[in-house]
Amino acid sequence: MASLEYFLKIMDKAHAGPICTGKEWGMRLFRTVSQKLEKYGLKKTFDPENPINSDDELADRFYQAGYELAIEMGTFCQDTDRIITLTAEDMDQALRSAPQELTLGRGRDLVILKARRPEDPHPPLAVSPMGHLISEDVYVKLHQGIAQHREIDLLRSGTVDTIFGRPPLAGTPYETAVGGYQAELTREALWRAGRPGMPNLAIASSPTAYGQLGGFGVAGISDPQLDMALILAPGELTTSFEVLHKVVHAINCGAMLTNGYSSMIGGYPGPPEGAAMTRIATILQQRAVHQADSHCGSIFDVRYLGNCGREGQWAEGMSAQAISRNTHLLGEEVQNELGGPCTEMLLHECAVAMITLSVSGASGALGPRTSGSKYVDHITPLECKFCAEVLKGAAGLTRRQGNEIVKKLIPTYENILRSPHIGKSFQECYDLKTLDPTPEWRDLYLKVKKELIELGVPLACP
Amino acid sequence: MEKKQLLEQLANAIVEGDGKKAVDTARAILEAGIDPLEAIQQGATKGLDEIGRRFQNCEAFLPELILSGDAMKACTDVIKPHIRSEQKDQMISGKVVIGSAFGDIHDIGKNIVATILGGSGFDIYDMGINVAVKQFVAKAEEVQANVIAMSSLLTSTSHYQRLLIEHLKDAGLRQKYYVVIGGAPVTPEWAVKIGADGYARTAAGATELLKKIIQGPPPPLTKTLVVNN
Repeated sequence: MASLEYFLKIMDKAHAGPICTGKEWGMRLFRTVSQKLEKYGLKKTFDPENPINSDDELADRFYQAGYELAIEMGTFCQDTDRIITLTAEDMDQALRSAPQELTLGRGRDLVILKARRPEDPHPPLAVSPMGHLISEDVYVKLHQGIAQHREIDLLRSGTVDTIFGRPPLAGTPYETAVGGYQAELTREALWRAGRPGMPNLAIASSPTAYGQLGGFGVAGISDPQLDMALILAPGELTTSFEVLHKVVHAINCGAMLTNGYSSMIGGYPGPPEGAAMTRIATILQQRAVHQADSHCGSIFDVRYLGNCGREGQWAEGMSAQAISRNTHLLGEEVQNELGGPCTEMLLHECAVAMITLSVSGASGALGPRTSGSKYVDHITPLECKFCAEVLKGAAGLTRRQGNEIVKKLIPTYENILRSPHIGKSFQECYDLKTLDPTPEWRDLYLKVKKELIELGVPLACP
Repeated sequence: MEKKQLLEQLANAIVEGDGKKAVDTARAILEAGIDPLEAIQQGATKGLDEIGRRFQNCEAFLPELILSGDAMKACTDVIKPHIRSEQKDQMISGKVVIGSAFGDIHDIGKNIVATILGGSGFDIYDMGINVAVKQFVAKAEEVQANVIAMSSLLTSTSHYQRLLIEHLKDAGLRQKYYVVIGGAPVTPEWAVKIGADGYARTAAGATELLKKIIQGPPPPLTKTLVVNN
């Protein structure tokens, strides 16, 4: 359980650590990552022909490099322009005290998030996507549709587009109001789906701290014993007061924390190898600075703002393997698909993303981020179910087997990642009365599922 | 050193992000009597194009792009005063106020765009992250900007792009500034819907967009310009 005393020490460091500008920080990160890549012989280890790594020794070297990076860099606080420093003792203590498993939800919907290892036959938990912009009038229906698929263990909700017709402007009292509103809508969706005890990430509509303050832990609409607090960092090894407000609010509520971040291929970490190492460091930092009970991170490729290309999957898998082999940290890893509903591109991206995480030892995986979360209502329950099926079905495959499968799937979409097929909206793909997919979307789902079975993913026959 | 070699050296200095070498070469170019406009167009800009190409191919990364942008700005500061007045209309320039929307603490995309635009000859006023609409407008008024560029990484902060345009209209300032928008959740459809003057999907596209906009009719444009490459 996160501690207030520890939090206050972090706040003290945020006000007393070495001074550094944001630009200096980015350049320093780039230089330090380059040095570590050299020191640990990690340069040019990205192998485009094999998007899933199966070299344990290489994954362990990435872990050591990421661990050193986290300690050497510390964490940059955007609001004070100071560095929150960490010692190896701080880090080791934080890692030792991290939970090995989390019991989430209650009743028939209770699940346990457990640490896994690469090629672990125990299936990871399937988490529904978060952050999609969803229209107010279909918000409950869409989440009901997702939650009614029992393959999905945790609900990570979308962002509600409006509150009684008004845009929930970030950082204003509208956002405070929408925090509570979204918690209410999500709770109703779970009740309608017959899963009132399903563990839930209550407030996704909270770009600043206000949404969370307005909804999370508020009596009658959000239960901090059931819901997890979502805390998203602004970047690699970086924090801000917005983030720290959310952390202390979760501590005040006695809630579990799940902390997210992104590591950018092409950004300050540089190449895929640098992004993998920086992601490892950032996962460790989330525990040591934000007291994360679980992490929900991702890799982004800045060239197309997704991660289902070869570089993205390689970095994603490498960091998941490094963490799962060397720590017992829990994570609900995020993947970033760009295809839209009712497209083959989306299902192929989902399959690649879920197989990579499943064989790389992720304890849970969130999926998918349909359409790059870019288009309103461009997400449906069917691809969430598909992700859960593939994620769990791939558990127990070896990394080599997974690699052979993703090698066949990636070429089907990699040339259109910069101009993805955006597909159709929820309203266009579903009967909103019965919550059934259209025949077109269902047939496509069955076709790709059959294709995966033929490629060797152990799924139930459609 | 010959003209061709000097221009190549300038381009290489930009690619390497070596500000001192870029400035020294710029001075050598001026001393050699080479046309300053040609130095920018055939030397420095070629270097910036090359680093942009490498960035798109994952051969160069954001920090290198920033260093190249800084080197470009340093050398153009040396060269620009020597451009003859009759040549100045061949130089694309303009003042751009740029920042991340209120409530948005993400800045990588915005930093890439600011760097490339700065390197391409625009004067950049980077307001940073979490910038209120009224701060964008106040800065634009203060520096007499041509363009206001707002980035948003979150769907819930992209509403401020619409509010910026409404604020400019209500304050009677819409005809003074081009408004361009971008960011991960921002789409061309959104740009058209809110009446933005332009949208670009990538940083390289942002430069192309601004060059087109600056040379076009005054704001507000009747049709949103979209650069989707």
